[in-house]
Amino acid sequence: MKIIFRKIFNLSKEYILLFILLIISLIILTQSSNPEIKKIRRYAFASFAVWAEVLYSIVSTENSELNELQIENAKLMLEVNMMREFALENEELKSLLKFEITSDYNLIPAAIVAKNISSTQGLFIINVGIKDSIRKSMPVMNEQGLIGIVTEVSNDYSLVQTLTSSSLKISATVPKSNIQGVISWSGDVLVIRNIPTTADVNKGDRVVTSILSTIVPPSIPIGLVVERRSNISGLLSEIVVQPFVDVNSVKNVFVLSVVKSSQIDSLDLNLLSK
Amino acid sequence: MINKIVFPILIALVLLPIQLVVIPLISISNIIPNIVLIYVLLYSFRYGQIAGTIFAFFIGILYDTASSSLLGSGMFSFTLAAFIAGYFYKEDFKDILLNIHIFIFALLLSSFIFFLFYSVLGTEGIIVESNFSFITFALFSSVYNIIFALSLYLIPRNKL
Repeated sequence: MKIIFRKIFNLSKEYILLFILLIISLIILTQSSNPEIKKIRRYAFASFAVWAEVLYSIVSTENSELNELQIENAKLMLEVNMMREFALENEELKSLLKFEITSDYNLIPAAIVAKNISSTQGLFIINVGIKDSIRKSMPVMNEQGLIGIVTEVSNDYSLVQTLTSSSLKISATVPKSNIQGVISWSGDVLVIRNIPTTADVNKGDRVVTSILSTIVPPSIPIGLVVERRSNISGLLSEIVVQPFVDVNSVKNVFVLSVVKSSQIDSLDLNLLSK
Repeated sequence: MINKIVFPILIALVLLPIQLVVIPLISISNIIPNIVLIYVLLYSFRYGQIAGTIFAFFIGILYDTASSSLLGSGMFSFTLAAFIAGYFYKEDFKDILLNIHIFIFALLLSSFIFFLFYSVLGTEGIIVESNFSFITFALFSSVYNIIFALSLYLIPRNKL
């Protein structure tokens, strides 16, 4: 019996090894939301980022004047977008929400030191962290629009989950028709699902972050509607959005130090820690 | 021991930051080659299926932690890709390089498996539009990977 087992083992040891290693990988994969695993991830990316930044400083060509102009551009873009939003917004709704106009956008410039480009796991490491007043959940953008959200922060670096990450879901709206929905990456395109078929959404409509979002401030541009698909029942449809930002070609970004709404804070809905 | 374990790990540690910092600069619409994968596959071609699979597993851990991707997705994909590459193992590594058709086929197959599983396992709670998009992505990435891997032929044969 022992000999038979040994023979079988010798004949299929590669497969046994593969099976064991794949099972271990899958077990670890299922534990990825475990706080301990998240802690390991945080330390790992922070230590790796140090080396990545050294390499980045060698390959990058920094231009401070260009950076300043980009900040200015991004601020103007946010202001223009807010104005556009206000023009469409109902006065009654504004007074109801006591929504305050603010042009004091605090943008923290950052450079991307490492990227993980994948069809479902878009991640950046940027060279700003806790010491630059970065906090978890702060939106990351450039002068064209939203790029992602800070998901992990270490002293000097932050991990950004981009729009091309399947786990990032953001509340979005089409201001023209006031349709609200959740935008997410389907592995191929950005999609807002479960939109009523009767909703007045057309190709070319702008999609921006929604006031309903507890993470991202409203009116940050996301993209343009490029397609509308109806589901099988015909009652609901989904909107395909082309993002304004080509996420994977971005080199410099800004982290938006969010001015939180006191009302949302008081409701304990805001995910940003105080 | 040094040639088989220490040097390869050191090389992989050098390739890892290059993969995440420099290689994204040459991405073409979300598609990039993966030099760490190329190295892991070459290791498997050179040292065989068992050594290649174990090496790939540990490189997968490093890759997942350094890139902050879902822990386990890289481990799984690297391990499986290296196992497949191991089928093309030749005692003399130069034999694989001499037969360019086999070399391209082996790389294409292993890279395709890697990119496919890495994408699929990285999906967190999404409704996949069509599995075809993952297959197309994996295929294009594999082709880009091969173009990159063919640069090996620029290295003089006696140095390999």
